[in-house]
Amino acid sequence: MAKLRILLVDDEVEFVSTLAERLTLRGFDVEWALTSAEALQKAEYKFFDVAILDLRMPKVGGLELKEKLLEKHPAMKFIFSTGYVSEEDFKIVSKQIGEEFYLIKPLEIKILIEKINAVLNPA
Amino acid sequence: MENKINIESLQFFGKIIASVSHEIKNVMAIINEKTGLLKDLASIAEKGSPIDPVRIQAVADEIKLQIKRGDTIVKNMNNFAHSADEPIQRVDLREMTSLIIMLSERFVSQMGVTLNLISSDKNIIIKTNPFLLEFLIWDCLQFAIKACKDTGTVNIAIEQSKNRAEIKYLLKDGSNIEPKSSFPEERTKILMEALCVKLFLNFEDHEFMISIPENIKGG
Repeated sequence: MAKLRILLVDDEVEFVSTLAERLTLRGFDVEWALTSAEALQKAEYKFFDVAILDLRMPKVGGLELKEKLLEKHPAMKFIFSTGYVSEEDFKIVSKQIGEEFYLIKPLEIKILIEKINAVLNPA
Repeated sequence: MENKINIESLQFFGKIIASVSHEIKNVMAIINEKTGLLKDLASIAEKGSPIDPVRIQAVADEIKLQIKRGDTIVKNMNNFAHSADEPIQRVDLREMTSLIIMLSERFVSQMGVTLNLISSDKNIIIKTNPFLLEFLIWDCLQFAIKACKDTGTVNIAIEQSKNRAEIKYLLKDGSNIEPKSSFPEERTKILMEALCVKLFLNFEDHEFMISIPENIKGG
């Protein structure tokens, strides 16, 4: 069975590289990027089943990046992560993308994998 | 006027705390992943795969670095919180500016701007209202960062002149100050008045300066 391809995008290198390693150990095909520009480059020639995007990144944030990735790969699915915990942030994001696709850092890898499965196989 | 400055000061305090708490969250998220990775490696070893002690050591070192980073963030936040203890204190302007730059790191990186502090090693001691001066330095920095959004560099130079200290904001590389900029805003003007600070704008050369008295009256 082909491995699920995951694109991780976050401007914290230690966070994104370690999470990528942990997902790789669990059998996913993972690539990571520190910026939206880098992510778009990676998505230029490769399809990813799921992109896990940090909401707040320099220049282009996660929501804007999602739109750009969708132009290239309309079938790509998305999960968003953020360190922000304010109710305001939560309201804005949950309205736009739905609460079920939104994770607050620190992430629990078990829950992240559940979300990955949920976005790929919606009920 | 006092009421307005009180409200704005609280908002400033809140913004700094929100930014710092986000930085702490990032540190915790990294430590969470690193410790998770150690557990993953231990679990693989339990299943009989050889474990690389160098890799374990490297991950442990990375955790230590993040703890050090978190400690610095918390120390900075503590220093900032104590600046409101007394209305008038003797402070080192170089240290204070450096603190505000560190506390603004998150916002600066979000805006895609590079900040450089240019200063000699010499302390510049002034008697002032530390909290309000921090607010003013931060307020000016926000304007400079927004003008340099995405492509720019802001150099901040601290100098001492006769009976005054100066902070110069030098906006480089693609800075874009609106010709009809509203800077300084009402808030900035109130802070300047409270601190007896003068502002010199030179937008043609992409720079501005605040000049601070070495001794503010009161206290």
